[in-house]
Amino acid sequence: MTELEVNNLTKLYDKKKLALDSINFSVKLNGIFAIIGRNGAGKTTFLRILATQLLPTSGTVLVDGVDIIKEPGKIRERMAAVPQEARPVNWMTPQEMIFSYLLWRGYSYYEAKVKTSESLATLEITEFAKKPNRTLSGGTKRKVLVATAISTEADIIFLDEPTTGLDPISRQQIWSLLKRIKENKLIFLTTHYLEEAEELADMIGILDGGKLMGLGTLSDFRSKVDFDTVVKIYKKIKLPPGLRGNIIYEVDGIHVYTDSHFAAELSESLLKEGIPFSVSPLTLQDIFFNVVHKNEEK
Amino acid sequence: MKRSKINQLLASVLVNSIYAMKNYPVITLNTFLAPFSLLIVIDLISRGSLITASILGGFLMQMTSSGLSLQGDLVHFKVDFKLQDMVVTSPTSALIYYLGMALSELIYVLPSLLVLLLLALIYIKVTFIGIISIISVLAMMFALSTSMGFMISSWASDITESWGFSGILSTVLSTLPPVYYPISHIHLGLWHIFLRQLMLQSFCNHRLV
Repeated sequence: MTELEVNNLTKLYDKKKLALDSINFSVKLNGIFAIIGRNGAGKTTFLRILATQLLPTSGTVLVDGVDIIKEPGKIRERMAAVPQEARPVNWMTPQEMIFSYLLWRGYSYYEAKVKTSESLATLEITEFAKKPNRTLSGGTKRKVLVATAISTEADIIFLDEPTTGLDPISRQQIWSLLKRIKENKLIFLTTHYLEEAEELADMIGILDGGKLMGLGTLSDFRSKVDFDTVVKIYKKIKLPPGLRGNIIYEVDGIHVYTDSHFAAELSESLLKEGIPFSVSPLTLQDIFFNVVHKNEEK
Repeated sequence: MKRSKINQLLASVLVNSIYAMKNYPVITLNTFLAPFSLLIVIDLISRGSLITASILGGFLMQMTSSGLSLQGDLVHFKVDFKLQDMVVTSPTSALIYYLGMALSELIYVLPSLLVLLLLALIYIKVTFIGIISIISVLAMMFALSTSMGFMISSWASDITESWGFSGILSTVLSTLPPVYYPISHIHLGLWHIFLRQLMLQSFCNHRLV
């Protein structure tokens, strides 16, 4: 289990733009830790600080008791990262890319060769091993980068939006790989695909406007909210009195977050009036919209 | 785990020069030809009288261009590929990364340095002390240009901006100064300005002390 402790972590860009606002939490975790949030929520800044690529303005981060801000060298051999918008080097092949990165990490020539082949096989990209990176599809390029990170001995892996821009099949392939390798590793990923966090994450953090709005497992989030069902009404109507739950007015209708009992009552009246609607159990997306909505109201 | 520092150095050399030279041979050809264009022009215009200066100029230009290329390459890795961030989150130290990258630039210019060395052996007659002096100057020039390359790479926000820095530094370091021509060819007026500036500086320093 990796113990991660974040205390009052704050990042200001150019002394005025607040990217992270006093983040505090402590978790003991192996598996996948997903940070979700809108564009500009501070996800990449947060990940870059944890990956020792960026210094915070103030605060501390301890990984298994090691202060990674003061002593990054002590923890870097346990870490590997794939930054957002990273690309495999054009003039190299996937094999050359992974091999060189392993040499950079100090592996022997033989170990690097063996680990390169293993990693290419794990990601099922051996057939592309000797093709120039510039000729590969976007999905395969992303897999090359993930293969580069997982080829190492690192047990803390940072993936910044690893599936952005990928087609559904490539995304599924990366998801199943992450599920396979997450044992005995802490995989820290950022995403704005909420279904990705829902599918993969053992722990979820919600960032909005640089603030950590919530932290826990999906069932923690579900238990914290007062409702378990969402009724989406695809028309703007006057809702019946005595409504229990949260109401969010959208462009195309109304979302009512409520309990299953009231959802049944509401559905019945909507059916009688012939108003189009749908009923579904609460998803991470619904929880996220509620959290963000509450933050905006504040 | 025991880590090989030699392999960490080798990784930069492989990524920045060996694989690039192998996959884009035109880069090797361009780097090889660069010092010879001015060398040939100056040799033709001076009817061979400035051959010694222009061979030494070729050496100096290659040392300078190493630093300038390094600056562009570092920006390319940092901004376009985000490779620098991947290396930061690894056991590679900044010193090893930068030394490896500097070494990789020497590999690029190695073919032209060998040809220049051959020309130097044919045309330049120097004493042992002279050889040591030339090697020391070249080493210092390489250290200066690569240090500037590192520094500027941290300022440049993208590759296009880094080309601007390269152009200015190339003019300042390898075209205007007496690189391809002897220092004695500098106009007397410029010498006066230079000496007056030097005397003024010494006077000010003296007053300050």
